[in-house]
Amino acid sequence: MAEQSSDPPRGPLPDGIVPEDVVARTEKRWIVIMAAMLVAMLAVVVLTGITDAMHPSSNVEVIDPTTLHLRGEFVESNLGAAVEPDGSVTVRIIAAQYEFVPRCIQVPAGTAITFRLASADVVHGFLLPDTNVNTMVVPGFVAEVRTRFVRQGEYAMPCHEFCGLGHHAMWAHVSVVPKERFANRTSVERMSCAAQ
Amino acid sequence: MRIDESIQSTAHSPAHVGAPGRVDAPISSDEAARALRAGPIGAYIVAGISVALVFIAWLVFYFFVFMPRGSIG
Amino acid sequence: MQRSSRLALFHYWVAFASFLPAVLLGAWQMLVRSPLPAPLDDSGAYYASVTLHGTAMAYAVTTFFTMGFGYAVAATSLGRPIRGATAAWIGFVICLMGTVMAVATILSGRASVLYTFYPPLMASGWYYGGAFLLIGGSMIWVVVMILNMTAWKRDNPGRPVPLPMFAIAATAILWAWAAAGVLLELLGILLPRAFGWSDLIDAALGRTLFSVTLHAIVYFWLMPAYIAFYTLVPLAAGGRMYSDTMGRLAFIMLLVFSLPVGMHHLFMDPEHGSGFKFLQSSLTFLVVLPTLLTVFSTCASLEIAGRVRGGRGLLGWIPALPWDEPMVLAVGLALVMLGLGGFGGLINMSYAMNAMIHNTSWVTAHFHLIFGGAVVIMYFAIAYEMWPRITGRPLRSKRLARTQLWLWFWGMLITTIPWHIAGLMGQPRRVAAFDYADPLIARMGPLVNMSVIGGVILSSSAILLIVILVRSHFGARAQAESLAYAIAVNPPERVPSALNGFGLWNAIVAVLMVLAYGYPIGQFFFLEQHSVPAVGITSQFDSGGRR
Repeated sequence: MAEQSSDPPRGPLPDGIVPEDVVARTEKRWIVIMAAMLVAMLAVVVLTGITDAMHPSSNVEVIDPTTLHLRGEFVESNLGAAVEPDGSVTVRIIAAQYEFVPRCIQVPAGTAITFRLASADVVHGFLLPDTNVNTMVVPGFVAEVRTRFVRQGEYAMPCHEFCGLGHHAMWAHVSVVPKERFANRTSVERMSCAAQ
Repeated sequence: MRIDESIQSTAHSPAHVGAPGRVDAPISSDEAARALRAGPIGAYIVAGISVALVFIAWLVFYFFVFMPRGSIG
Repeated sequence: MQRSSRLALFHYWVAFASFLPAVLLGAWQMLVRSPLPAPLDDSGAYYASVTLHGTAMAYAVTTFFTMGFGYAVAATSLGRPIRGATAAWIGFVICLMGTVMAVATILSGRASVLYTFYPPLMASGWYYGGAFLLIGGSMIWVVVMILNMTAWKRDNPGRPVPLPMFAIAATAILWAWAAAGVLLELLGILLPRAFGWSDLIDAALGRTLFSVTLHAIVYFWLMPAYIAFYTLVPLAAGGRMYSDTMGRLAFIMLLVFSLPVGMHHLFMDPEHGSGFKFLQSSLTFLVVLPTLLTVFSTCASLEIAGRVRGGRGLLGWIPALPWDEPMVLAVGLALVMLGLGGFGGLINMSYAMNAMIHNTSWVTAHFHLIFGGAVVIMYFAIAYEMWPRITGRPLRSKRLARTQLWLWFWGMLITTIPWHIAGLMGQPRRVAAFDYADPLIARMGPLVNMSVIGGVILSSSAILLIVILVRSHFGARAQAESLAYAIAVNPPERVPSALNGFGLWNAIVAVLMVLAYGYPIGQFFFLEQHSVPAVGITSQFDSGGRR
């Protein structure tokens, strides 16, 4: 029986204004569509992970933060960018309250780069803006990020995890330079922030 | 919560829809029922378009912001 | 005033009394980190403020609000006074003591470790003790919620537990599981070090335990808002809840899938392998589902209300809704912020994509928009429903309430949208000062200035909220009707026991937690020596004689 909408009766809403089976069907349909969308997103993540090497760093390597400067991979003479036999470059950096050592790093463009960091004290982290280089540096562990810089550029490299009252001052600088320029520098020059 | 005068569980009682002071319910419940016979099309439109926009934005960010920033790992 | 009402009101007042100063601190923080001149521009003060803001918002405001809401829901949805009110009051006092301890320690400058307090950074034991009392004390609330539900079920065999009660019980159980992480971290790692019973700290284990809490806690925060979506909004709009069954399913899914996913906060951490990171990323995709379900159900409930009010055509139901009701306006604004904030969340959880934004301002902007925006605006709307019923005085002005909500909405968008963009530019988070003279950093300056303006708008909204709530205590009493909940379109006579209790779901949670966290946590007990000395936020809290 149609009601005049200009003269509305008032009272409680009756049950079943949408039939039960319609409610169930519409909700199920929505869940299926939403699940399909989520599966599609997961598929994108998996496929690009495999084909384009998109994985967060996950090496799980233990190291003693109190002896970094005394022996092992992170002694001072071994810090900075080093060329590996296969032509790739490994950059070793120590993170400590409140600086990265070395503070200025040069790396070549168009080369496989591996960043390896260790913390001497608390949790630090770093990122290179406009790249996907981003990792936490947890004391007791070595953090590793592998990437390849396509273009040359200058990067201000902040510590991005709160590490104490001087956290805001903890910035390093990374220069991505053409391969030839990098090859002509000594390891000491590669750690200089002076214009070259 | 004046529950000293009403011990009845309020979550069940149909009398609570359209209680005094509340926005009153059916102005045209039959018409509404007719429009909703096949389900809440309006909800599908609003929720569907919103979620679709979010999904598309995610894809755009994934392929045009994230991936161009370089491989990792 | 009825006992349960007073219990809820005291909890709400602690929540909102903590809320206002925390908002003002947040606005000041944004000013300090901007290029603009700021009063008391001191980095020590900044980090203490961030700690206070985070501790207040993440632990105090939310826990007290949800506890108060839980007591209110238990009393009104079950239609009888809550059982265990004495225990509830004891819990309130313990939580309040803990809050005061933590706040006092932060103000003294001996706890500037932020609300996430990642070890081996160490603060005064009084801060950890305060946090432990606040979070641990809320377990009394958990027990009271569960007891009230089981007592009602015993007295009403075969009947479906009213959805609001079912949902708040799910919230309580979720919180118990979630809090286990941080409570274990406090009890097992931080307090022993603070008391000097241990020297070295397993920082990696501490971070991993905390990650158990860190994501699930946001679901603890949002459950009251979702309970409002299902059980209060449809009634305020003049309609019915679209589906009681789907509501139950949504809350169950939130409980089950919000827990084994915390490691998506550790994607960039070196102490975990990609296998478990990927597993927890996949599980995180599942926890998106109940939110998508809730969005649809809420829109459907609103559509019913709109059509019943005469809205015609595909979208005519939208303008037909009673937008002058604060609860209806709030849900509209909340859904917009949920869409934007949810988009950010989808990016954060997508495994390697996290590298694009981890620990940048994008993350901070994201959780301010989704929690500070979508969820907290519903807290306001719930408060506007609760206050008149507790004080017996109607809201003096719905228009003022709506103004407060609009200010919050615009303030939040203006604060967080530029903040997201700065994050994409690589702006690090938790930083007291930026060198805006550096050209690489200068381009972020205007974005931060926009967020400062947003902070001012949010501050004015927060002040207005308190004004409205305080005014609600004065004026002529009117007979307020009891709190009513929306009824489903098809109210269920019976529901399957799986949708009426949590035994099965707790078992599933246990299995999922072992699967997702068993190895990631267990590995630390077999991994070669990786514990490290504590480093005090001030040197008095350093590990003795080790550096």
